Amino acid sequence: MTTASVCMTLSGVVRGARRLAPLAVFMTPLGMAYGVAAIESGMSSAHAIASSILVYSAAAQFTAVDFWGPDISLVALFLVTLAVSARHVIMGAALSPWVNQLDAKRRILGAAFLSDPNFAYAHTALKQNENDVGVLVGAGAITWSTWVLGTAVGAIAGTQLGDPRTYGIDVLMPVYFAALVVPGLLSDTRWVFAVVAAFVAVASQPFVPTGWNIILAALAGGVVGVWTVDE
Amino acid sequence: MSEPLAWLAVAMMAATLFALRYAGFAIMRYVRITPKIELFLEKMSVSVLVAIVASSLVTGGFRTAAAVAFGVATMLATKSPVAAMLVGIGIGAAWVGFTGV
Repeated sequence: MTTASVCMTLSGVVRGARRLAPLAVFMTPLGMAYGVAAIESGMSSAHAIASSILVYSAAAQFTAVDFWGPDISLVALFLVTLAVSARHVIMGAALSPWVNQLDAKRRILGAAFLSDPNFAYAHTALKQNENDVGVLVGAGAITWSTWVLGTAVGAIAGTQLGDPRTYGIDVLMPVYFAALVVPGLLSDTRWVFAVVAAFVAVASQPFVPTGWNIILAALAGGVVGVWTVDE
Repeated sequence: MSEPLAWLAVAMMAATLFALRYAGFAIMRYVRITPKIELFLEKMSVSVLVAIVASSLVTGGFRTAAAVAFGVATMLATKSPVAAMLVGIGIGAAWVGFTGV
């Protein structure tokens, strides 16, 4: 892992946005699905759109939709948001060797759009030849903008849009993540950590709150990864 | 739900998400990155993605598994994540089209 001479430039932002533009296109129908679900749960279209602009987390927002109603408990909503999204801490820690070489303003910018797709892309790029953290910001900003656009369309056009499953949109994220990690794992002789992570994620899913199985799996994968190399 | 409460809920979620996004950077400023910690972070980050895929395979069943399998095969053959995504969602859509579920 090379972390020398890290920077954050506008050309990096543009490069990141371009690289994730094809994926960002598919965030629009996903955002539409959220917009529709939000207004069906009684959320106003202004709240639905504002939540996509400010929260920008499909997992947290879809979960909040389940909670939305006259008797909503802010404490419960907070705890669920925390549980569903706690993996962002792990993604931030994984990106820290690069991001923490930047000044505070740029670190905040790096955090602003941090999500699964731009983490998956930028972390892979930074491990290879990339030294511009702008790619993380650009990749995040482009998927954020299409997510917001999709939400606005869904919240305004409503239920006439149909089921995203019909278009295969719901399988997009697992396909993208698998496409990014499998080639690396096939050339890694110490792949046991990934099997352990997958096993922990699946085995703990029925017993822990939503999202925590991912955190347990990540920690288990990290420990096994260090242990198998140390041997 | 009242208008101010709804805005409060959105603001609270936004603040929580930003705090979580920034927390990883903040915590690691106080941890010296040794080769072992670097390796741990590296394996942990791949594990996050593996775990998301594994959970979605369980939740999504054969349809998601077929989409992921064909997507990965496409990635290995073409080295293009875009081609992999297109094949994956194509399989996902075709599955619903043919089976109706």
